[in-house]
Parts: sequence; C-alpha cells; structure tokens
Amino acid sequence: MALSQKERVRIAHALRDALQRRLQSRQRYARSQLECLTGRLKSLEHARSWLQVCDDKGWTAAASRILKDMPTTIAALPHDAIQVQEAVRRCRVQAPSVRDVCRDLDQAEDEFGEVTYDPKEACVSVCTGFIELEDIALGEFKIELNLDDLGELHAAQCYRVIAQDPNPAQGRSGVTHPHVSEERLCAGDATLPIETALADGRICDFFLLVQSVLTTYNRHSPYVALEEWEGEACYDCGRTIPNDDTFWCELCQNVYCQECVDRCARCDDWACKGCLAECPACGEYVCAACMTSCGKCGAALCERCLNDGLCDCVDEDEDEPEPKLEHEETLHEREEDNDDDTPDEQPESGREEAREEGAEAEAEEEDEFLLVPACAAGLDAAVLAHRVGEAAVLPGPRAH
Amino acid sequence: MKVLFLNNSGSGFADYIEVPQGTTVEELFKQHFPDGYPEDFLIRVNRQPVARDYTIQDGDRVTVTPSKIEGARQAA
Repeated sequence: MALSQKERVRIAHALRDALQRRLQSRQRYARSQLECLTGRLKSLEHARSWLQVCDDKGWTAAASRILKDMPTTIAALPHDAIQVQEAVRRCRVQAPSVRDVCRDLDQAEDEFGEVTYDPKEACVSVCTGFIELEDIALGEFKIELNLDDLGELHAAQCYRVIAQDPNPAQGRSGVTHPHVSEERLCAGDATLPIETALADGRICDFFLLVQSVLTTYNRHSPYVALEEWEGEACYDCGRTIPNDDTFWCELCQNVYCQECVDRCARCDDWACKGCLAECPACGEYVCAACMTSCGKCGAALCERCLNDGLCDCVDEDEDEPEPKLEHEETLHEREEDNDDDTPDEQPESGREEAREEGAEAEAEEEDEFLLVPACAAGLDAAVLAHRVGEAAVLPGPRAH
Repeated sequence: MKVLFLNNSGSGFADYIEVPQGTTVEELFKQHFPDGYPEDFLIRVNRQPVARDYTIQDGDRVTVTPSKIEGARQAA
C-alpha cells in the first residue's frame, strides 16, 4: 500500500529532526577535537614564551629542558589537525526540504514497489527482490532505516538488513548473506557513499546502495564464503566445510574437516584427533580399536607393539640381543676405526684376512663397498674401493 | 547550464556542475566514468529513469548509482 501524504510528511519531519540532532552531535565532536588541537598549540606558545625568558637570562640548561619536551607535542599536531579536518567535514549535514524527502519516497516506491513506515519504531523500510548469488538462494531482504538512530553521532548502524526467508550459512544462523551478520551489513566499498547519502537525507539513494551491496558477492571478504554455505560445521574447530569435503569419525559419530582428522597408523581408518591416541612404545597414533592394554602392567599400547614385546614392563633380561657374528663385529669395528682421523695401523695381512671373512658373510645380503684407507698401511693416501668378496687392490708401499 | 550531479560511487559526492547545452545523459556519463558501462549503473534524472539520448536541461538532478558494489566482512 502506498504511503499516504500524511505519512510522507511525518517521515520528512522525522528525517529532518534526526539530521539536525546528528549535526549538533557532530558539531560538539568537532569542537572537542579543536580544543585538543588548540590545547597543544597553547602549550607550544607557552614554551615559546619561556624560551624567550631563558634566552634573555642565558639559562641554557632550562632552555634545553623546555626543548626536550617539544618534539612529542609537535609530532602529535598533524594527527590532531587531521582529526579536526575530518570532524569539520562530517558536519556537512544538510537537512533536505520536506518536498525533497517526499520526492525521494516517491522514487523509492518506484524502485522497490513499496515503502513502509512504522511510526512507533520510527523506521522506514523497503524490500529488495529475490536475491540469488552463485546458485545459492538467499531470498528477499528488508532494509530498515531507523530515523531515531540516524540522529546519533556514530550512525553507522542506524539501519538493519533483515532476511525475509532466511537461508543462513550452515552452522552460522546469524549470517544470512555473505556480507550480512546479525542483521548488520558490512558495506565495504559502499560505506562512504551510504554515509554521504544518509548525511544528505537522500534515503532512496541509501536504499539503492544497500541493495547494490546485497546483489554483489565479494568472494575475497565474506563472513562465510558461498562455497561453504551449504556445508557442515566441523565438530572440532567449527569451520564450515562443503558437504563433499567432510570426514566422518566412526568412533564418536561426528563430522570433521580434513585438518581435524587423521588416519589410524594400524588400520588406516579415518578418525578425529580426539579419538586417536599415541602408543607410548612406537609413538604412532592409533584408534581405540587398534589400541590394547598389556596383560601384565595394564599399560595402553598398540597391538603390534604388544605382540613385539615392546611394553616397558617386559624384563630386559628376558630379551637378550642376538649375538653378533664374530667377523661382522670385527668388520664393523674396523669400519669405525677407519673413520677416525688417526686410524690404527694394522698389518696388511691381518686386514685382508678379516676382510675375506666379512666378505663371505655379507656377500649374500647385499653388494656393498668397503673403503680401505691406504694410509692405514703406511701407503699413499689413496682410498681404493672394492666390492666385498673381491681381492683388495692396493697400491704398493711408499718408497722411503 | 548548471546541473546537480550526484555520484554515488567511490567516495560519493553531490555537487552542481557546469554542463554544455545539448549534452545527453550518455555523454555526461562518459565524461565522469570513461571506463564504466552504463548498464552497470542506475542512472536517474530528476529521480526518473531516462533514455541514454535524453538531453539534460538546466537545473536537472542527475544521479548515478552503481548496481554492483562489493561488500566485506567486518574486521575483527
């Protein structure tokens, strides 16, 4: 139903009163900023007159002390000046004529189909058309401008954006639009034009600007991205995940994101990090099904470690290490010795004998090289490598 | 001739500007938005939609409002 002429006039007067109050608040604020600036200038003037006295009397130390405090005061001046400049700019609130407001309301009716007015709440409202962004149906939105709040100094939130048929983001019932949270629009690039339109009392332009934000998706800065709109919330971190990217923990029967799950090191099943426990023996994370307890001491560890006898309670005496083969031991010792900076001098014949014995044992396992530092036999520092099982080929002794 | 020009994009300003006689709405738009496309804006003269070849009159009120503006998430 179209607004009556009486309602239009009422809205116009309410709007003018609100803008007058806002202007008054802003003028008070501009005065306080100016007082701050002039206060600093007064302290500088005070310092200047004292410097004159110090100069006349030759009080250099006193003058130094006065000058020491000045840089801080001077450094604050540009900021104060900008604050005053901005406060004065914001005083440019021009109350429109009653005729202009009525014409604006006519235009709003043409653009939006209907304008409603609630005199008790002092709210003027319009409704957008159906909004769908990237195949996500968001429905219609009511843009409600509160004329009483418009009169406040910081009237950034004098309007609300109310979803008429909410389709909020999954897990975030307050986010009914990528740029609306708890009925508050984050206007982004439209912030300044909206503020200017409201300051001028151009309420139709204000409604059109809000609608322009609602019909645009800024994928770089939404409250919730549209890609995550219809997903599920991770039970652990709360992040909304697209339905195709969710993980199900069979143990606790909850949904998780990829960051909050891991595979059991034994059965390879997915489980949430809360349902995985670290085996104290091997340090790997296993699920409850793969975790068991030692029959002796009751300690929890994974089945594999339990079967391998890796529980701490197992007597060390019962598990003697396997005896090393003699030639292996000799071979390993020799290798360690050869790595030293001052290698031992062994007779060549003894070394060759040990090498042959080691070669027989190791040749079956793998083909490996044996480094023989030639200097160990007083030879030139030439390192020759030969395969195990082959006769060592060493250069002849150094001629002395 | 003087025209009230209301630019609702960018910082948004409303001011009287001088416009040569015979200037059309399309020409005025191109002067202020050389890289813009008219279809991306709501262009109103005296609060009414007009054809692109409408010739601006003295004292007209011309409003240009972007139909797509990027919102944001409030900084924490």
